[in-house]
Amino acid sequence: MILQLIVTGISLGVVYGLIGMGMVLIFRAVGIVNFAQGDFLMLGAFICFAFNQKMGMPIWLSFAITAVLIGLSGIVFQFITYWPLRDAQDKTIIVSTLGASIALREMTKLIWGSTPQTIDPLRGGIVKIAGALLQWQYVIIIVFAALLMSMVYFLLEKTLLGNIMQATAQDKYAASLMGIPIIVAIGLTFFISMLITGAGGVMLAPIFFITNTMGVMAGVKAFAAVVIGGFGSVQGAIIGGLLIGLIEVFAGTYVSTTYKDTVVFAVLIISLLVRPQGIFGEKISEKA
Amino acid sequence: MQNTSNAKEAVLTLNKVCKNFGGVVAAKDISFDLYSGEVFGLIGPNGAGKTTLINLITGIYKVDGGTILLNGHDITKTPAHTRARRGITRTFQHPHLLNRCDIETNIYLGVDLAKKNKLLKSLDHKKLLDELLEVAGLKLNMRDGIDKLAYGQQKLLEVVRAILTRPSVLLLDEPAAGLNQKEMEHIVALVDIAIKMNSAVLLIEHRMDLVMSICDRITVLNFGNQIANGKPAEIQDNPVVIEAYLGRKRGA
Repeated sequence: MILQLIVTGISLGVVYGLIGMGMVLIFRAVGIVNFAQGDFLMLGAFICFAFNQKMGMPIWLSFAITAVLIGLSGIVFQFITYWPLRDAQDKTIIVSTLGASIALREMTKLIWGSTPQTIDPLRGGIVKIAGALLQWQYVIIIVFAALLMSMVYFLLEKTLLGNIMQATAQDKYAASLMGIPIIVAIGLTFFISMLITGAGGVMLAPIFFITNTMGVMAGVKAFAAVVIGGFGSVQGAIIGGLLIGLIEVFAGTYVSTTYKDTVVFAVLIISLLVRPQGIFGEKISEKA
Repeated sequence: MQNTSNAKEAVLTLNKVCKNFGGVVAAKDISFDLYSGEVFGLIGPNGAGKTTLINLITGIYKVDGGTILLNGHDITKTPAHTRARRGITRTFQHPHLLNRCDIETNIYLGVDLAKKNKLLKSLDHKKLLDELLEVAGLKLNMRDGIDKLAYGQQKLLEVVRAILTRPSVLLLDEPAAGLNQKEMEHIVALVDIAIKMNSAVLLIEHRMDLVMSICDRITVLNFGNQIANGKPAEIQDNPVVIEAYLGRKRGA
């Protein structure tokens, strides 16, 4: 029982971590919290639904195509919501992402309606691990999310492309003078951020129903994960995500299903009171 | 000096470059040539438009008029990152290093980017780096963060990083500002290496001892206008320059 809860909690948590990581990448690259992040999770679920259920493609193929498509849509999103406003104040751009969030939700409703939908799990059935019966889907989520996270980490830390993205995130002015085309680096960041978020959506879709608002709560929880982990920290997003996932599952079982989200946000408030900079956060000084 | 300069082709040519910010004239009809292997001084009082000129050369600002040529090719409309890849490198008055990355990443990023150029790929960067670090008097742990370095070390590191990319044009924006005498000597030694590898060096600097000792030619800016050109000795005695710096001269 406990092992089942832990696996369920971790699998939810890694998805929050993935979305949170996507938020952090964008935050580091352009200094903006993207409020439409969760909607790309929703979009991922719907696009995969279209390939898998409407067009009858196998789930793994649908998954792969969806992830790439959502990544590409991230580049388009960047050109619409960020690039034209890049010299504007931060809050202007944040409002622009909020607008995009609403537009995406309504657009999805127009195309696919408001009936909850579902897709095939990446692998159905049950697996027995250490005496506990677990759904394959949860195990696959954990493995896959871990794989995606390590790939992003490797890309960021160990490759020239990652250095280019980091340099752009830290100092656009100096980066362009070192020969980095800023627009390419930012576009790439949005691509990766949305790709992992969309993949998270496809993985969550068989567990929850697919609706045009499924990204809202997931986005808010991923945001909470990022705040608890320390804003701007990739490790923080992962650890924060795991915490939120576990708390949600345990609160759902031992407190009540109705109040599980309340418990999650109570933990967020407490963490803000006790450690406002988050687990991995640097002390943030007032900007001069 | 002037004769040899005329004989070879200029690496960088500014031709009547203009820039205004609203009603403020930051550059008015600025023209000069930069040749490989020389140090060209750009001096003038604060607000004369020296840094603006660097921003025009690197492409951060767009010119309002005039043309900029690199090795004879018009780069007036070329974006900043492309100019950087073609060999225009600068350092900053206040270092712009990547604070979240370690020293090694900072040093090699420029070279790694420039490696697309086949010629650079085959060269031995490690050997040059060791030489540059020794000349700069820097003993570094490559895994350290930038915050472990003192201000002067950061400025020296920036110059090292710039020279490591073997730039055809090296723009130094007040490299000696805030440095002590010893560190300034390191800067001079680094500039020497750049000259030996045939970079054209443009130096903005307020410390006149440094400017007069290492520059081959100097141009003086005041309120966006080029008020004097010449060798250090000529500039030193030019009454227009003295007036721009010190105000109208009385007596003596």
